[in-house]
Amino acid sequence: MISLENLSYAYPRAQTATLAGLSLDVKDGEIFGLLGPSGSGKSTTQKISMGLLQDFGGKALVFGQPVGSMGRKFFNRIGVSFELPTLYLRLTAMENLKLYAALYNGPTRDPLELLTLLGLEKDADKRVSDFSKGMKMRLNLCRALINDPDLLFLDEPTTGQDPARARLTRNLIRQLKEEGKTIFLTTHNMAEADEVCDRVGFLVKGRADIIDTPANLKQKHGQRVLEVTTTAPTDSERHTFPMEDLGANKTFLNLLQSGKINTMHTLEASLDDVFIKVAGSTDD
Amino acid sequence: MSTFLVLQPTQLWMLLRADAISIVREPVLLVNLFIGLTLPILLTTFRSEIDAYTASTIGIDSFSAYAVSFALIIPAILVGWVTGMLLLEDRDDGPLLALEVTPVGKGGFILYRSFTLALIAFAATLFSAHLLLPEKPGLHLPLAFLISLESVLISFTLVAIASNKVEGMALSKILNMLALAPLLALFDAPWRYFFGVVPGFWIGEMLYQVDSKISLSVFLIALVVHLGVLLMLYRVLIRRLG
Repeated sequence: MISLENLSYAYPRAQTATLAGLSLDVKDGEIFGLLGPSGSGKSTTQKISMGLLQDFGGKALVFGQPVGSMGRKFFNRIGVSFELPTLYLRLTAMENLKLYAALYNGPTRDPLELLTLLGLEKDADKRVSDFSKGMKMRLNLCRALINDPDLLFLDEPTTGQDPARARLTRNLIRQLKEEGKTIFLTTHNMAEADEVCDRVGFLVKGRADIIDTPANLKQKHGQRVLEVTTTAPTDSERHTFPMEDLGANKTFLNLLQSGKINTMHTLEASLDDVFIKVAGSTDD
Repeated sequence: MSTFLVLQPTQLWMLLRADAISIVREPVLLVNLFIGLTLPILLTTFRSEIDAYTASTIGIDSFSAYAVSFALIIPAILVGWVTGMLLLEDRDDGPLLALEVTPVGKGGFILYRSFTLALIAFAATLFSAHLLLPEKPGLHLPLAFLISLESVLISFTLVAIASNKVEGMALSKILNMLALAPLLALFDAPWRYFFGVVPGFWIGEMLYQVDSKISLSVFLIALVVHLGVLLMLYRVLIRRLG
């Protein structure tokens, strides 16, 4: 769906290049998360993929064609939810969606259906200026979906949303994947990336050399160890066991039979740990 | 007319509708439009009273004759200001970014705004000219055309210079002074052409220096100056809009 090869880009008057040899592929129907510190070039990568930035080095293909070669009809097939709200504040939510729907040339989705999907149906006739930041962000997502796009670019899609609404948004992102949509997402929220992304790439110093599934990354960067906490007379005790031959580890088996076990979990890394390990040395 | 070829009728209607709603829901914009469009009517209706008053107070006999250029150009300036403010809002609040990722695009949208503005200003000026200059019918169309460009100039200047809506409001006071630019042509000496770089000067030149029979050369110079300044501002505007 998206193929970026040896991409480089430097903003005018910038001392260093934002992208320096970035290569990645986003496959059809997958949710790909591009992660990285602030200013690492995540939004720049998305903008190049959307055809909003020219004068980049390398090769960028979207829908199998060079970015920019499809003219403006390209935008009938993509949806973009920016990091900040991009809405007409004096119009209502419904008026906004009807306006944006009219700007596309193909069939569009029912605005009320989209508002309902994101829990905004009761606010359909409310002016956007009266919306909270979280509501605006959800309406932003509705706007991005109005043309029923094949490819979605989501930039920090749950910014400003409370945990319940953020979960609603994440569920919708997964539902979109089930409908066959391809989603290219950027986020700072590692838990979110872990939860929704099929694969993630870490963008550091203009390159994404580490790309894998969240599960593989957590395993690769964690310890193959099981941590067990037990109830002791005065305090809890912590025991760690190597995962290799765990079934034959007598101390572990004794603990299992003792009935004193409180908690037990493997010490694979979280995506936060991987992020810090990979990008931690980079100044924002 | 390319914008109307780029946009389908439904798209054009929805954009016009959204702009109309935005203006109606913002009293400042609405009041400015209202003032702009009523000024020529007021000047026409109370012409003799105004002349009598200014003659007795400041000693100018036919004040309304000088005020004609102001009343003629002010509707276009205010419509241009309202459009410029809408564009500033579109930039600051984000819709312009969202429009960039639709088939219409930022360029298509700016074209829509410019053409719509020019059409409204053209119609408003034609109407004003009909009221204020019944004795010079030959000037109505060329003046309406030039003043419609003037309105686009105002909106582009606002977006090219102002960094935000607050600056846009402040800048409007300076831009309103441009309504006085045609009066520069009243100086009956060759050095007045130093003011020729100011587009509004040529409106005055057509009004005050050319007889009712239109001078094609003056109109062509006015057109070149207007288009030149417009092109320059368009380049700055595109840079400012990212």
